[in-house]
This record gives sequence, C-alpha cells and structure tokens, in this order.
Amino acid sequence: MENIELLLQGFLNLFTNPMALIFGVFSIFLGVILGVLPGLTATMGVAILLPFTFGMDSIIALLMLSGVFFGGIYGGSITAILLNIPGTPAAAATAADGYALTQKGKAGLALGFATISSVVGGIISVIILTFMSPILANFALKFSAPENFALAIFGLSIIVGISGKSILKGLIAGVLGLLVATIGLDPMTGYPRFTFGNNELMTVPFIPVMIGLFAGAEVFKSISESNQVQRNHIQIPKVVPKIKEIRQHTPLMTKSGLIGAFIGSIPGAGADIAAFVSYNEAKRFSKFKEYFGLGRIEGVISAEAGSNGCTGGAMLPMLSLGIPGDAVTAVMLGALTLQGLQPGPLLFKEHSELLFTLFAGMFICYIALLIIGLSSLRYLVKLLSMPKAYLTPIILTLCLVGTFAINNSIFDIGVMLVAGVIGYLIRLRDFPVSPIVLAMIMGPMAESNFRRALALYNGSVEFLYTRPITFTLLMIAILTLILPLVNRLYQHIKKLNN
Amino acid sequence: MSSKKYDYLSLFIYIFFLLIGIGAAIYTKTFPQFNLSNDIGNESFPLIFSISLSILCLLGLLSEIFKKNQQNNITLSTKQLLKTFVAILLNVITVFLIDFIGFYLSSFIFSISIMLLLGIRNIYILVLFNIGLIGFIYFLFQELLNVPLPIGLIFER
Repeated sequence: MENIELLLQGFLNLFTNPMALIFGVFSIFLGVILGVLPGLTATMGVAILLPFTFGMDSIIALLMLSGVFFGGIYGGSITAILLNIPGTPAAAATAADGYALTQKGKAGLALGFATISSVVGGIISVIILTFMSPILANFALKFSAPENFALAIFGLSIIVGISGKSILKGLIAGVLGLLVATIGLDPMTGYPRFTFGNNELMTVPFIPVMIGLFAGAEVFKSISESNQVQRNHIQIPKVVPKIKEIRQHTPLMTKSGLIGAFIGSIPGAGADIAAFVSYNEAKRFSKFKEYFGLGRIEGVISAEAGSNGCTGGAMLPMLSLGIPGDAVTAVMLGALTLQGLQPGPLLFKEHSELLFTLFAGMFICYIALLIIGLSSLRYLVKLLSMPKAYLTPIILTLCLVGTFAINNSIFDIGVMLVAGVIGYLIRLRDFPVSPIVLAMIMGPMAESNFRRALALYNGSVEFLYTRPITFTLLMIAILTLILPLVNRLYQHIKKLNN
Repeated sequence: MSSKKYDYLSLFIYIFFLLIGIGAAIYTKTFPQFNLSNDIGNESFPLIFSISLSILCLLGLLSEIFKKNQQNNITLSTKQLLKTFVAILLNVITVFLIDFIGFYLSSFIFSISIMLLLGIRNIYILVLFNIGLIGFIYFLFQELLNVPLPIGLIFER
C-alpha cells in the first residue's frame, strides 16, 4: 500500500518536472537509434551518456540512462526483423523468427508485436522492481557460483532448440562458439589462452564476431544476389496487431517478461541470456515447436518480452544490494555514485521519493517507447526498403565504424571480417549462427563459475547435486538437451517402420 | 559407372573446423600446468571443447561422405562468387587503408567501390550519396557520441 502511494507521488513529481519527462522520451529515441545501428549497444550508449549526466538533476540523469537502456534493447530488434542483422546481442534471438516473418511478407506483424512485447515485458519488470525488490533481491542472493554455472549450462542447452534442421550442425556451431570464447585471459589463473602473443586477443572480441556473423554474412549473401538496384518491397499494411491477437499472446508476453525480470535480477545475467531463455521456454510449451525458427510470431514475442523484461530486473540488485545485474547497470552504478547516491538497502529508506519518481518515469518511458516505436516503424521500413545497392554500403560502413568504436581497434574490424566470411560460408550450408553467439555468451559464464565453485568446494563436485537450485537447473538442462534428440530418433524410427 | 558427386563446400567446412579442433587440442598441451587441487586447470575447458568439436566434425564429415542423396544446397554461379569475393577483398583493402588515409577517406572510397560493384553508375549519385553517408557518420560518431575516428598517418603529419 505504501509503495502504491509512493508511486503515485512519483507520477505527481514527474508532472511538476516536465524536463525530466522530455529528457526521458528523448533518451528513448536515442536508445532506439543506438540499438538499430550494428556495433552500438545499450551498454555503450549508457557509458557514453554517463559523463553528460554529471551536474544534472538526479531524476533527469537516471531517467535518461534508463531511457537509453530501454530504447537500446528494443532498437536491436528492428534490423533483426527487417534485415536479419541484430543491432544488439539480445536481438539475435529475435532474428530467427523475425526475419523469417519478413520473408513471408509479415514484417508489420513482427515489428508490431516486437514493439508491444518489449513494452509489456518492460512494464512487468518495472512493476516487479517497484513492488517486489526486497523479495527478489533476497532470492537473487541465493545465486552463487554453482547456481550461475547451472544457469549457464541451462542456457547452453538451448542450442539444440535453435539448431534448426540439423542438430549436428547446431552443435558444431555451439561448440565452435565455446572454443572461440576461451580465447583471452583464463578467468582463474590469468594465463593468456590462444592469444599467440597478440595483446588484442586478451579479451574475447564478442561484439565484432557477432556483427560479422550476422551483419557481415548477411551483406555478403545479398551481394551475391541479383537485382541490387531494385527497391525491396517490404510491405507493412499495418503495424498495430488486432486486439484479439494481442489478447491471445498476452499470457506469453507476461510469462516471458517474468522470465526476463528473474534472469535480469541475477548478477551477471543480461538481456541476451534472458532473450534466449524466454525463446526456448516459449518453444518448449508451444504446440508448434517444430515451426520455431521458420516464422512463428511467438518466437519474436518471447524474445522481445524476455530481453526487455530484463531491464527492470537488472536494476533490482543494483538498487537494493549495490550489485549490478548486468553490464548496463554496472555503468549505471557509476551514475548513482556521481549523483551522490549510495546503492544498497538504505537507498530505499533514505531516498524512497526519488526512487519511486524514477520508477514512475520508467513506466512513462515505456509508454513513450510504444508510441515512438509504432509511429516510426513505417518510416524505418521505407528507409530500409531502399535498393540493396544503397543499403549494402551503408550497412558495411556502419559495421566498420561500429566495430571500431567498441575498442578503437582496427584489429576488431579484421575479426569482424573473418567472422563475416566464415558466417557467409557456413550459412550457405545451413549451419546456424545463433548457437555460436549463444555459446560465446554462456561459455565464459559456465567455465568461470564452475571453476569458482570448485575452488569454493575444495575441488569437490558435490555442489552439482547438493544445492537444490543448481541440481534443478542442471536436470532441466539435461532434459532440454536430450528430449529433442530422443524425439528426432523416434520420428526417424517411425518413418522407417512406415 | 556413375560417380557420386560430393558437396565440396560442406566437406571443406567440416575439414576446416576439424583442423581447428585438432589444432586447438594440441595447442592446449603448451599451456602451463598449475596442478592445483581445487582447480581443473586452464587447459581443461579448451581441451574438452576442441575434442568435442573434432568429434562432431568427424561425424559430419562421415555423414556427408556416406550420404545417399545430396540435399538441394544453395549453389552460386561463378559471377556471384566473384562479386562476393571482390566485396570481401574491398573490405580487406579498406581495413589496411584506414591506418594510412584515415577512416573517412577509406570508407568513402570503399562505399563508392561497393556501389559500383552493385551496379550504380551515375557519378553524381555515387559522390553525393557517399558524402552524405560519411557526413552522417562524422556527425553521429565524432560530434554526438564523441568517438574519435582515425584520420590517417598521412594527414597526421
């Protein structure tokens, strides 16, 4: 009850401070642009904006950073759906079904639902942040190295689900991603692995690889096609789905938003993990699981609601415990310090009015995202429908500059190029690239947490079966891995018998 | 006597990744051994992944060799492959040029080259479109996002 009163007071504070709302809405717009451009991520947007917020009013500063965060996560889905080029890692899960829908002439449906799902997922996460912070924060504290390892294994088990037609090719792609992710400094000993004396390889160049695999490969594929000077006719008769369709998918949006919020609340797990896990859960319980990856709208809805559901969830441990939920909130911790606010349990007691004004602002930011998203889609589609002879150099040039902007490194551009060529060649033979990206995200999380857990238990692996959350997640992961294989084998035997 | 046709691209992909797996597995043997009782060492995970990759690629290779019917794979004409190869080459040249003539000039040349490759011949469109593109990148990255892009060794002098 007290929280509701504080929230209402927060809305009142915002309406008496219109500058906060204006900046918040502007930052949503900026976030969407950053999310759309390959190479630029929500994390980068927040990091670049951070120094500008020094000296600003606390509410305006925090709302701007949140707006860029929300817009950035959503923006990545637009090019993922229209061009199969995810603007952010989280949008890689949206690309599979989103682009397939565009190819079937349903780009409008995909974009409309992506926007609505992002908003619903985001609002759910802000509701949880507002009303359930202490409860979820306490649960998130139960997650230690063994639980994070099990969560990473669970995330990796999704590879089978996103492998498409060939599980073997999906597994090859996934294991390749795991191997590439070991390049760099060993998480425990700091030994440089597979760097060959090259300082640039001390950290895994994840974003350049992702840009290369998706954007580079897609562009090389389109270069080999004919009709480069003709306009692409992406038809979107409407972007707002029917109320009946929205109502039909509301349970899925809600479930995915809750999954995203939960995963976001776990320190170290971000929107990319939330997107893939939500996608997999939607597929697991769908009657049409074999059509996922071929243009099921549920794939887009679950991935988008999950990734945006992560936004509020990631702020939860940051605000209530001073522990960042993901990379973006790690940067936002700096913003809180700049504003003279100490994150932790006392923040809610000493600055409750400010916090609830922020939460109220977040609700309004998501409503603004809905309006901005739906109203600008037609213009974005017109822009992206230009002939490939114009679009291709734009994308390639943006990939070059976006990749360079990450670390100011030309080496990264080379990595992007190599990944682009490999991605292009393997896609010609139906090797999926999403498992590579997923494995590069989950692999380091799995290894570092396994070895950390091993150190905590003095070399014993009993943590795998003595900790209930760890054991449960591992069992679900094993089932997720085995069941599709058993199902395929059963279908194969049935075919042979017939 | 009919000879079986192999899909050489698939075979190349499997062999390429198999060699990466084997190479990585051998290379992990050069990692120093710390022999800690509470850690599996820095070579364990890379070794597991590289062996797994090798086994999976071997399975893929065998399935490709002994496949009865070839799938309807995407086949590209020589012209299409040449176009893609030229685009990749242009990318590589651009990466090398950035250090010398800077990002803006090398991207300008690169973008014009790609548009020529894709069939745009109107000189006004080529120049004006790319001036606009580079201008937009300058404004967005240099002015708005404060990301300095290299101007090249030649211009730095």
